[in-house]
Parts: sequence; C-alpha cells; structure tokens
Amino acid sequence: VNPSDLDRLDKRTREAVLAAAAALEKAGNPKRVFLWVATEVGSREADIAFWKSAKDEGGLLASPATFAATLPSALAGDVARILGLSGPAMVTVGPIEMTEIPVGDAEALLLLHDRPSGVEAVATDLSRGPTAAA
Amino acid sequence: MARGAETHGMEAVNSLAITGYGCVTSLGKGADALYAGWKEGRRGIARIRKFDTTGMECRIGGEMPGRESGPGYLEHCGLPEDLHPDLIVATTKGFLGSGAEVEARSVTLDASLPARWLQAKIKAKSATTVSTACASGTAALALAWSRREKADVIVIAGIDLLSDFVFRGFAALRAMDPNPCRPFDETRAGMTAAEAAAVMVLESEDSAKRRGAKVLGRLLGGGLGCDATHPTAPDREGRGMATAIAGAMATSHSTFNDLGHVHAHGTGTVFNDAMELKALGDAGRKTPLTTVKGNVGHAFGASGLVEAIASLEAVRHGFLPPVAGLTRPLDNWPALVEGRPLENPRFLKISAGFGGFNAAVVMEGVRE
Repeated sequence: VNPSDLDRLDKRTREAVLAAAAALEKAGNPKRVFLWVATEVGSREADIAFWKSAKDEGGLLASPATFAATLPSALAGDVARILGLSGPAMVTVGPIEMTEIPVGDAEALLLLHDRPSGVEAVATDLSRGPTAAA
Repeated sequence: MARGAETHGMEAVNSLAITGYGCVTSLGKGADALYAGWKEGRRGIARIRKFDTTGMECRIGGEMPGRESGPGYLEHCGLPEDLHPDLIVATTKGFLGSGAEVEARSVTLDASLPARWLQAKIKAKSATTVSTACASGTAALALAWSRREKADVIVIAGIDLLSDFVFRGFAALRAMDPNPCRPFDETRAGMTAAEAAAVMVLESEDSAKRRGAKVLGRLLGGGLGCDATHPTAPDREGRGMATAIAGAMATSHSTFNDLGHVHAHGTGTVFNDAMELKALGDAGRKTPLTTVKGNVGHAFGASGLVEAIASLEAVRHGFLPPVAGLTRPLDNWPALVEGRPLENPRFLKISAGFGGFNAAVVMEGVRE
C-alpha cells in the first residue's frame, strides 16, 4: 500500500484498506480476488456533510468529492482502487453470512465486514477454506 | 404483473426463468408505457417539479408520475404475492427523497430500508441490498443468477428517487447536460438525472412449471468487474466493464455472434459512453446497440433493471427502438439512430457505476 494513498483517506477507509491488505497477504496475495463488502455503517455521516455543503446557494458550493462518499459503495471503491483489485466486486448493505456469497471462478474471496465497531477483513483461498482474518 | 398463465415449453438448465416484471419510470406506470414511449421516441424528461432548480445550469430530469413515496411506486410495479421468495433490492440511496430528510436525520437515510419494507410486504424469506452505485440493478441480476441453484423464486426490486440531494451532487460533478441526454452521440454533453422503480420475478424452471407461470424470458448468465482506477470516472480503457462482459458471456456460454442486441448503460457522459464502446471492443461492434436512457433518463441503481425490462419488451414485440437523441453515433458504432425489427431474443445488458463497479448479464426474451 502506497503511504501517500493512505494519507488522503479518512480513518474508516484507511482501516479497511489496511485490514484488506493484511488479509490478502496472509492468504498469499492471490491474483483473482472477488471483493465483497458488506456494510452496516452506511453513509449517514457523508450524507450530512454533503448536504451541509450543498443546501445553500443553489448547490453552488456542493462538494463533488463528498457527494461520491455518500454512496454505500464508496468504501469498497476506495479499497479496490488502492489495492488494485480489478476482479469481480460486490457491495451489500447489512450483515451477510459467508455461506450466502456466490464466488464464481475467483481464486479468492476478500470479504470486508464494515461495522460501526470497525472493519473486519477475511480472505478465503477458495481451494483451502478461510485462511486469514485481520 | 405476469402475463398469461401457460408454461413456456423450452428447457434451460443454466438459467432462471423470468415470470413477471413491472416498473414505473418517467414515461409512466408499467412496462407497456415504458416500451410504447421508447418505440414512439417520446421522452419522459422535462423541467423538474419536485424541487427548486432556480439558478442551476441543468433544470431537467426524468420524474415518475404523481407525488408518491418510494413504497408507493414499488407497489405500482405489481408486487408478487404468496411466493415467499428470496429478495434482492438494488439501490444507491434507498427511499431518500430530499436533502431535508438528511437534515432531519430521517430514517430514510438507510439504504437498506426498501429491502426491509419489501421483505415484510411480500413475506420474503431473505433480503439482500445490492449497492454498487449505478451498476446496482444489473449487479442484482448477476447476483440472482449466481444464487440460481439455492432459490426457487428470487424477486429483484430496483428503486432510486430523484431528489435535490442527488441532483446537486451531479451538478457539482458537472455531469449533467442542460438538455435531454444524447447517449453515444458525438456531441453528447452529459446525463439526465431521473428516478424509477422496478420489480422482476425470477425462478427455477421447475418452480415456473409447478405454478403454471408463463415464462417471459430467461436470465442466462452474469459477470462483475471493477475498474479500480478512480472514485467517480470510469476506466478510459473499459477494463472493468470488459471483465464483467467476459463473465456474463462465459457463464451464459454466449459470444457476440449469439446476441441480437446490446442494451448499454449509455448515460450520455463523454467518458462513460466511450468506455462502454472500448469494453465491447471489435467483437461487440457488429451487434446493434441501444438504450432507453435517452427517453427516461438515468435512474441510478434502478436503471439496470428498467433497461433489462425494456429489452425484454423489445424482444416480445419484435422491434428494437433506437437511442433517443442520437443522430451521429460515436466512433461510427452501430448504435441505433432508427429502430429495427428484432428476431434474435438474446441480449447483453451492461451497467457501470461510481467507484468503478461494472455489471453485465445475458438474457433472453420471448417473442409474443
């Protein structure tokens, strides 16, 4: 992970990127990774921050970067971009069980549980079962 | 919602049967209104009435008829009864309908609210909310295909509302054309923001036969891919989309030679439309391409499902309408300036979203 990439991230996203990187490393850095982010945090804080910038002056002062962060998928997009995960990617809102996740033909599944208490990352080598948690 | 009551005779082992669908778009209530408007070249895009756009460069959008709530619009899609399905909801912002709701810290901020409401309403066994930005609707279809062996009946719903909140966001990104969008045109200048609600019922062939449900189409395969390049702009080379398309083609055992058309994402932004053509590549150039977005605008997380329904209707009627607003196709691509008869029932539906999320599915309609 490039330190300059981390510097630009908020605390939660930084935590997610580091947890994901650690889980992938323990799993042997598989090439074809299916990224699945299950977020229970949502975008409430970003929603409030964006609307604060957008509600007056007919939206002229609205922050485009904060708007992008109002999507529940923003965290997953950042993790994928910084770690270069260009395989299949899915984002679901709410808790999810590993058994509910179809993985297709990927070599590994990287599951990020994004909870109010923090981000948990589990990388699963699909040929060997769960191998790492961070 | 469902048309007729007879089981279609074809067997398919790698697919889910589509046995019902409905939608509300800026062209009106129902799939019939969507298709009729598309075929007649009408646009549901007009000056926005839901909120004040005074002083803004873009003042148009695609609003659903009436002033109903998110649940109200979903009910107009014809919700199934007594199927006890697994539910997948595609959305970016749930039932969020205004910035005022954000200020009030309303419960509508929760993107999983539509899934919770629908699960109770249709007595679904499970509920999953898919939120991969504007790829959500097609990604939900891809997820349904992946779960085909575990579920008898899967209901997919898509919902996103046009609000001052999202409108000001896209205005800040300078992503909107002040005039109705012109997907795939050389002079395209941005998207038209819109809203929609849509529902589709998918089930195993056995389940459809047991119920005597008429098969309106089939979902044959799906794929996902991530650009991993930029928070809001697509990969200029279309690599994430190409990955999604390859997944959909492989799982459906299809090539472009098997397809009658491609229903593109086609937002009308400079970079999205060019990205899609890159991803389709030389192999995709021979396949006619269209999109209904020029008629209804871009309904974000609901758009993929709406566009899949539009294509199923095109197959049903045997006629593929063109891209509204298109006069000079980008890169001389065979994007439809005029409609044409459609015999081949198989098509590719693709969608892309912020964060670099891409989804693709291969489906088949049934000619009536």
